[in-house]
Amino acid sequence: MIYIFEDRDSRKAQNQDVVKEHSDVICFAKFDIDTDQDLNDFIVENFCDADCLIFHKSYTFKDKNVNLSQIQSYMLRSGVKFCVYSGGIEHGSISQDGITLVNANVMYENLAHFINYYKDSNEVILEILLWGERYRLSQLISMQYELFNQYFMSNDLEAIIPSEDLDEILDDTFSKFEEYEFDASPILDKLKDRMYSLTWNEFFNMLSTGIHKIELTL
Amino acid sequence: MRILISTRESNIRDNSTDRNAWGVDSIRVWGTDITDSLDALPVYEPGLTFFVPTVLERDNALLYDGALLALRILFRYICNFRKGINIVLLGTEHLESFLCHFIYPNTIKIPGIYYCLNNQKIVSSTILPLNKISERYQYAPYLSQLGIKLPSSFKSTHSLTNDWCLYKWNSFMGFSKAFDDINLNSLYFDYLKAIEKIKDVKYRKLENNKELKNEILTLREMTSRILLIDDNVRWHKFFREIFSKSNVEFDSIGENFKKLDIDVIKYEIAERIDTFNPDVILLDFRLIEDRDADCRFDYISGTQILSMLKGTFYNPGKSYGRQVLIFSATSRIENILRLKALNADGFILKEKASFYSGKDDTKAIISNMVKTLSESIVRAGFLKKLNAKFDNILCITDSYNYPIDFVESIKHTVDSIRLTSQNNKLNESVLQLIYLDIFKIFESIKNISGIILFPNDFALSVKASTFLQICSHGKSSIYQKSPDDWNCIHKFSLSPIHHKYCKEKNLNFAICAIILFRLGYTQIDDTHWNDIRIIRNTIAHGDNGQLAKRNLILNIDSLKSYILIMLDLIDMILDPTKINEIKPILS
Repeated sequence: MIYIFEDRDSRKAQNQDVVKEHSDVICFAKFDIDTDQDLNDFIVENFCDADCLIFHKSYTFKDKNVNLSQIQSYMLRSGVKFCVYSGGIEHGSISQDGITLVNANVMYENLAHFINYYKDSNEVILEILLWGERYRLSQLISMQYELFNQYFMSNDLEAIIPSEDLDEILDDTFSKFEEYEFDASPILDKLKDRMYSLTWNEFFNMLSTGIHKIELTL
Repeated sequence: MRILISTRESNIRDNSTDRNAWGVDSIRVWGTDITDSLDALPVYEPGLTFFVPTVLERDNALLYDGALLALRILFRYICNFRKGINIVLLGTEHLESFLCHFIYPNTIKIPGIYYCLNNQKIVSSTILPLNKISERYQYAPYLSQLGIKLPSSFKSTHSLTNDWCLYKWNSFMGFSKAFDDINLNSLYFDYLKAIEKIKDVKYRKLENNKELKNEILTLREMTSRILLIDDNVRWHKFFREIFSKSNVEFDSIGENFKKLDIDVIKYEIAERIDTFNPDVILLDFRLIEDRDADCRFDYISGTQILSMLKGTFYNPGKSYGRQVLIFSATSRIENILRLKALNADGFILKEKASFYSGKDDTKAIISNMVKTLSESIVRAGFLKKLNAKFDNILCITDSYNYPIDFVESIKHTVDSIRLTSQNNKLNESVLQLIYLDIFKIFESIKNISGIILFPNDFALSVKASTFLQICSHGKSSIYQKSPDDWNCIHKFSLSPIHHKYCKEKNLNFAICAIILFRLGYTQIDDTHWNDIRIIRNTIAHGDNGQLAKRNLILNIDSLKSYILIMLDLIDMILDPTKINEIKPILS
């Protein structure tokens, strides 16, 4: 279940249609914890089925001792995805510790797509809230960035890749493709033909071409 | 000087090994050495070159935060040093791919901007020609092609104007505390600065603007209550600062409105107005920006609140006379006309970045705001009293058994005056019209049967010489005429010398009689009736002679004053609880 903690009536009214349409998996919720109530007990009692909490950044809590970062830490520790949105966030971001920030308008624009993916796969992909239908492209570019920084930033691009390293490099590269769930087999087939005397630049070009072909399928 | 921007995710740091390997003079880490504020950039020097990775954080690769940072760096140098620098974008893909993905592909067309792969050897061997741009205007055609978009945190140009206007006004007024909250740290504002739509803030001292300072001092000396209705708490702070140490009582409401339904907002505003009783209301046109941005005019929160406050022409609501000024970024003429039709009393328009052409603009707009507020306070001071007196008179005529045609004529007069005063400046001509309209009520009063309840057996005679002589009822000569003759004022019998005034329904005689015998005054002048009458004759007939004799001056202030005095007299005459009937003395 996905819970949205929206405390602006106008925004709630504007977006209630999409939430109602998918009321089996998502709802607007309130975090009405009492002053003397334990946070853990309250969450277990009310949101034990949560796969993801989406919180307005300036959500007003009834209990002034509770704040957003407490809930965020608790949820991230429990493996529940957590997203914070606000009208004041200019560029959305996902930090390495899993904290997702997104602009309110962008979040609501991408909400339907996010829910549909969740319903189809039972998986919460917060990048969809940031990028909508372009989230796979975002992942593809992230992967490219990682591979580039790993292999091409420090090496002389004209140099031939040492043959003793090549297998490991290819294994790592394809692991990366698998990690991001992209199909590396077309690139693999081409590389097999050029296993020797391959320069970093050639490797980069082959990867780039392969990644571009993947992009065309997204 | 060659500077490489590094990311926290990479291991490249500012040490001699990395500097040599990358062939740069300095390495700065994004998020540590360089932050959002970009304050730590070195001063311009010829040949200054930045090497900036297109992506700074892996998880946000599609954002190309590094390329955006590069643009901000360029804008800073264009703005601050007006000279060209070189920037090399360090990508992790082919240029074609980068241009397909990056939101501002025309970046690469800007002189001094280059793209290459983020590779140590390529960077260290890159030697660039000197950027020959020496004047900022040379950048203009390239920057205009970028198509820099509003930040996503701005729903519309309304919120942009809000931030920009707050930035300009607070800096112009020297309100440094309020300014702390305003964050113009974004690509868009750096862009505006680069194209000279914004200049970096300079705190000014109000003392340096003598004219404006005097206008503000005058405003502060006025005794009034002003309520600001705005969801942006920074405007609350701005106006609180303006009205600090002043006679103006200031209150604000709206910081929680974003979270409320429009009906709840209406309720909260009505409640605050009841308790605070403001003279002037500053009403933000878009109170709930999230919702208002997509709304039709009639459903915009400001429109709905204005309708509630001002009511309609025939049902003007409690706020009639209270000045409601629309505080808005809108300069759309159709919006202004429609708000005017909803009885908005005035407009305070926020300064817009797109219209800015120098600090004189800011000064003129602030001065206009101060003048509008001052004029509104003056208007409210008169119209609120006028309206309260109208309400009272309408209440009396409705409550007591006055003839229907009389009650209708009063209502008609009140409606007419409300319309005149709502839609016009209160200059001398308008006030004269209002004066004559109100004076007509005396005519209607004269015709009310039985307004003076003389004993049937007596009649009133006015002695010769002046009208003042009839003021003292003790000196009036009352004599008995035939029975049943004296119940109506138009049947008064007069001594021969005044016969010309009073033979049939003479207004002056009737009102004098009412003042003396219904209200129990001993002097007509205690009620200002003679002044009221003389002013009326002056306006209607241009008879200035009597005005001079009584040392009366006809101007805006005296007209306002006598309009209110007239209404007081009408109120006394019509309110049965204020009757102090004097029985005529038999002579």
